[in-house]
Amino acid sequence: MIEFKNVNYSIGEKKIIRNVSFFIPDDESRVIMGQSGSGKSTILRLILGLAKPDSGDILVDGHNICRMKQKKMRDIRKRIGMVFQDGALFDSLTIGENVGYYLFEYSKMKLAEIDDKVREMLGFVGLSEDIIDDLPDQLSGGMQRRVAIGRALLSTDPKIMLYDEPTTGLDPQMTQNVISLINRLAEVKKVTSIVVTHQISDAFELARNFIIIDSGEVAFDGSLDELIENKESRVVEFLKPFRETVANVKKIDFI
Amino acid sequence: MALFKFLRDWIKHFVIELQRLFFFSIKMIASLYRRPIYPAETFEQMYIIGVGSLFLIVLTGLSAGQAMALEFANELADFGSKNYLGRVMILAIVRELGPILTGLMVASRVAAGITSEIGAMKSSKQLDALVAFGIDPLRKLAAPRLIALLIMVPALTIVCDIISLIGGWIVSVFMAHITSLTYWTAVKQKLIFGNIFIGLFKPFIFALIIGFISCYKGFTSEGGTKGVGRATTESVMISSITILISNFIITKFISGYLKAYL
Repeated sequence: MIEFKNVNYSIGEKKIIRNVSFFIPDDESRVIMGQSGSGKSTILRLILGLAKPDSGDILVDGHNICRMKQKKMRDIRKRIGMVFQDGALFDSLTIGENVGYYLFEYSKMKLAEIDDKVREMLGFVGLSEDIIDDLPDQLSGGMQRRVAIGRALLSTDPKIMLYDEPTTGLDPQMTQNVISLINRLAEVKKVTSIVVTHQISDAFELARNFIIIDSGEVAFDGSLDELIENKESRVVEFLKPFRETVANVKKIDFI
Repeated sequence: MALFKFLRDWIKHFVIELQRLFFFSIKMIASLYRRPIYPAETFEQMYIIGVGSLFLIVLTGLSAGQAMALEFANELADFGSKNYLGRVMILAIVRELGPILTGLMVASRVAAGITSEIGAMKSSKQLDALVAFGIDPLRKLAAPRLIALLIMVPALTIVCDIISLIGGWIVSVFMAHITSLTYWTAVKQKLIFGNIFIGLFKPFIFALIIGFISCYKGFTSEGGTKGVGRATTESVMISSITILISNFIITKFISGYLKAYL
């Protein structure tokens, strides 16, 4: 469960997040949409405690993380898996070392056991074991995203997954692969997923509930039907270039 | 008026940066005392800094030692004091040139590497990924580099000193026609605790300077690839200038207050 209560965040004089409030229950997938620079990724950074809000409260599984000490925050982070934009893989480590990073750092497992887990995870995210000794820059963008998802999953067995622009810059086939992986994860592992994206067509395949952020404010928070029916000027303006996509989704939903 | 405003902004920016660097350095020192420790990373950094800089230090030491010996031998010959060359070399090399040359060489080679590596990790969100795993980047990245510098800069200084003295010996014997015995006896006479202490205290301070500034610049770099490049340049420049200034301050302090004890 994640809840934002009147959260404000600024960098210097610039207000990034303004009075943001929303609630995401357990096991639900929610997509946060908005134009580039609207403050979407900052919301993920705030949930992960990588940034501290100026005011307001952020509750993760009932714990207020705004006034939490670093040690306690580390325990909260163990429940959260994060897939950063472009993967953020450790570029000097091999794919195997990246995926098993958390186990290498924290577990007392033997190397052979970690290796088995890594291979199993690579299979789960749809990658061949042959890439285990490759470096991240030897892989395509889509494969890197999958490795990043595998790394997040193997690290903490998360209850909450955060995805920052997971499909940006990928070709249509890779985009579909990553979307099905995210959906499969939500279904199989029963994790709460928050996906930040500005790709509207992908958003409709990832969730049935949406938040639209406009200039750091929540312009919309609700279901697909409510989104389609919404007449609020900022929402209409945001969806205008994607009218056809929205119409198609409506049609498919109706069928 | 514009000049006044420029100066005022520059001083304000300088003071703020200095304050941030100070608090960052305190955090870095504190990170040395917290668990977990990363011995593998520390040994890797010791190898990169120590072995990686060895050739450069040997070359610099040999060249500086020979040039110094040549200059001093010519000057001392005018006073008929060529036999004192070894004593002059010890003072010049062990107290001053060895530490400062090693400090500057390590600053130019290692500070650039540390800043660009940490800066690149920051711009590609790898530092955020570490935090997301519950790992403190200061402990994981900064502490091993600082420990490695504190061990390897004094070690490299000793190497530089020895190589410089050997360079001086080569010039003394083959060009200034001083016997080996005369040269090394003079060297031994001045190889006293005070000179060795000063010669090893300075590199210790230089290691702290390089560690603090290079890590700080890496962790605070902003603006993508261009920003990392700028931070790297600043890191080398500020480290080098600080080493030069601190060398003078240490020498002044020691010759002013501690001379009686050393």
